[in-house]
Amino acid sequence: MESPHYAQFVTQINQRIPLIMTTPLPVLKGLSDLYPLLIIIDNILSTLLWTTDDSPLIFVNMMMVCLSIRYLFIPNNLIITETCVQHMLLDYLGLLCTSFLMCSTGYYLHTVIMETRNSEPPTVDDIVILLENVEHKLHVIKKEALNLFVINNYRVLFQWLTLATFIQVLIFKFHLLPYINDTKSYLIVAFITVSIFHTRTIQGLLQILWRLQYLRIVYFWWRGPHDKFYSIKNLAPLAYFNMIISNQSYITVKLTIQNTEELIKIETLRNRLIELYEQEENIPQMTEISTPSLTFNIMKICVKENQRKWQNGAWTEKTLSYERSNFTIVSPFGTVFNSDNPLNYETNVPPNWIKLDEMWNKSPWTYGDGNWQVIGSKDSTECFTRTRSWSFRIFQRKPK
Amino acid sequence: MKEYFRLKYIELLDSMLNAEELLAAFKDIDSANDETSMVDDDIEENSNSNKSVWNKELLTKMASSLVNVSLTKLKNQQQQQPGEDDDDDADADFLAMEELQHYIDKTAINLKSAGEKPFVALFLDKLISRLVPEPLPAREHILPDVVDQQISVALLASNVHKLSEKMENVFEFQDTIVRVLTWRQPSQMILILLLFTKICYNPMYLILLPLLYLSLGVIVKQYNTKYSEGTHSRQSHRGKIGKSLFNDLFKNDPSYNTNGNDSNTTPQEITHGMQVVLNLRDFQNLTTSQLHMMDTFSHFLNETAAFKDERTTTLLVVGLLFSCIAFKALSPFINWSLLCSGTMWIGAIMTHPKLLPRLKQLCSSHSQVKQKQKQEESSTSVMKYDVILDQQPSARYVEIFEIYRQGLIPTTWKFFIYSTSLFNLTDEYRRAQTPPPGVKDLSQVQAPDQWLFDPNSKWEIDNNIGDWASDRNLDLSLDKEFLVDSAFKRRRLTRRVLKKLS
Repeated sequence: MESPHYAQFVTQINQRIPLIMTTPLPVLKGLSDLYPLLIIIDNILSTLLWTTDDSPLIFVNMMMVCLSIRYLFIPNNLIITETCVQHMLLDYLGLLCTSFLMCSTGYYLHTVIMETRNSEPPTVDDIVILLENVEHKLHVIKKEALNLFVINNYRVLFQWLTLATFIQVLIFKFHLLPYINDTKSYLIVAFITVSIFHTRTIQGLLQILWRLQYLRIVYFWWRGPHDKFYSIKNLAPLAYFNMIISNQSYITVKLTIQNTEELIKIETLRNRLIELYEQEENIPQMTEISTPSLTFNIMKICVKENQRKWQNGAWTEKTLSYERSNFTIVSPFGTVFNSDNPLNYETNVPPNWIKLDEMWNKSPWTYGDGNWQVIGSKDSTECFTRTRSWSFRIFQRKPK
Repeated sequence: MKEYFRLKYIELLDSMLNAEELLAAFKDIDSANDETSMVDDDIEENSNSNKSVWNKELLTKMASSLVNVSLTKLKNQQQQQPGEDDDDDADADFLAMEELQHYIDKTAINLKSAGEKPFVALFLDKLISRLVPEPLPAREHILPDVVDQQISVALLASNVHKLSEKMENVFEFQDTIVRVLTWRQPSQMILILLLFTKICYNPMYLILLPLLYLSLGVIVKQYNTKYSEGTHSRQSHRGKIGKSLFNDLFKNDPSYNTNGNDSNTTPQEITHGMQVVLNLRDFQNLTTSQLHMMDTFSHFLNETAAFKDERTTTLLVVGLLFSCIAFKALSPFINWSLLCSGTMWIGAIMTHPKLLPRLKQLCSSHSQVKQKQKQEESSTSVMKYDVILDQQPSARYVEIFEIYRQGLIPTTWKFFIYSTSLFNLTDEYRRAQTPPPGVKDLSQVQAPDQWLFDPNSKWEIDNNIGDWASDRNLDLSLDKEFLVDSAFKRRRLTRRVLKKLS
């Protein structure tokens, strides 16, 4: 038996030609001058992402920065009686930490510069790898930040501003968070939040929290639903028919009478009309026919059935409360309405209209991601929603 | 026909098993009786006969277990076989005959193989259950329905095997802890100290931190390994550039350490077998150190705290009580959070490998001067006169009966024995017509264990004969200090004993 052969992941490292041959000399010079700076930037970014080897060190540094902030910012209302041993100790530690951090930063910068100066100069590949790392980290930071704050128009900006103001008022006026009571503690909390935001733990936690239905409901209540044209209103079948009729978004066909007996049988009439409808739909032809003819209006009703994948990969008709419901219809004006079960339409056909199709025509499923963006016609692990359309045609003799 | 054979065979096996069990039980009872009777015999005889009986017993028990196990095995196979052939038709007689033949062959051949347990393990189990008294003393269980399992060699062996595999993680964890505590990873040490401080100031963190760890450290980590693809940052071949002042200052470089046992072996070299041996070694070290610790503890309990050295223990008690009072008096003035965390920080910093040698140096230079002074002091006064040991030892009285036998003439009495037994008419030795345990000479009588005869006392004849006779509910005739029955007379000797002190 032949052992399976595994495909390899795409990496760029194999495809690179020696860069030294292709890079102009001034660029090389500039890059090598930039090298220490790049190292420092890379280290800062890794610290922000907590991807260094020694993550407890980052934590310790974070604590030291907090103590320094505590020391450097004099509280607004300093009460002398409050200064007990612990406060004095903390202030002393803050002083120590401030000086230690300064020394530490200076030491680090010094060692970076000294080591790059004393060791062999970096190769172009070294620099490029470093640049790629920096770019990758920046990319990750940007992506993670944008996951939380996407501000693409003024409305969203306004929403964020109101929310932020609301939170500030809650914190400062009503002391919602027990720890925050002055600028100093606010600063410390903000610092800690920012520094731990990009850890994999917090990112994972946020993703897990995003799974909660109630959180999403609250979020979309605040942000408004994803679909721009989606209206949460329900449209009754009759209203839908009236909307189509008033908008005249039906197709008119002319049936030439060749044999009157043909028209007596409803079956043949239907078949003729379906033929004509499909012709008309593809190539609208406005030919005047002199032979005696009858004019019919044919209306096509389209209902979209939506389903969402829940646990265990089971497709159910239950969708989320802020998104389209199980059945939706698109009105002639482009708005999406919730709809009844299509089977209710058959009993609600308006007067003078007759069914053209025997049954509902169901299209195959189209699969999409969590936001109903179409992915393809096959189900996969990245598909969480699916849609298909039910169509049904009715006709009437065109009133004169 | 096959059924018939099978049933007969099983019946036979059953009866054999039963008989064998009975035999074993009988032996057990027998030996138990022997032992009880032998206790009261002469000591030398006792030990000799006991040994021989024990050997014999062991042999019979081993043999019986051997037979039992093979019979059980056989029976098990018998029972397994028909289960497989259950869906045979009754009509096909000759087929059944064939199968019978086939299956007799099978039992003959496969006697050793197959079955739930290997033969040796089963044999050992049976042997153990025979050798050990039938109901083993049970352990206490919290849940009432938990029952102690019977001892099984196979289970024990598999448990030890599994445990040695599981212990790997424990030892790795121990390694990590040691690495952290010796400041080889200073940031983790500081982190632990910070968390400890936090716990000191708010004990609720004892609950919060494990919860946080479980949610963020374990579950979210699992989520990340499942869903996120990780960072794709590429490593260049150059080493890390730039140093951290923190690590340079506080890190204890392990290359300074001389115990280079671990540094020689890289992880790739360790094979599975080696890992097992390694684990066993660690396990051995662990048990050794544990035993050592328990020894130290028991030494403290049985020697230092048990008045072996009267003065030390007395001073220990007084010192402990005084420190209790002092601590209690001090406690309202102590900021516990600060004290605990401060002690921890200072302890951790003091034990830093870079600082400790210097501190020791400092201390030793300091203490050398003091020790000289002390030595001068102690040479002048070897004995300490601070504890007065005039405790009265507890004193009790022991008794022995001096028994005389009637001679041929009723008025002549001949000394018979010194015994703890009264040897009256209802005495069991008297009824068995054997002499009671005792000695011929009074000087051979020993004081009870942990007691000594008071050297200032002598054996005294108890003249108050009416009292001790009525205490023992004896209605016999009196003759001076003697209590007389048909063939023997005895008198009671008492002597004072003192409790041994060491």
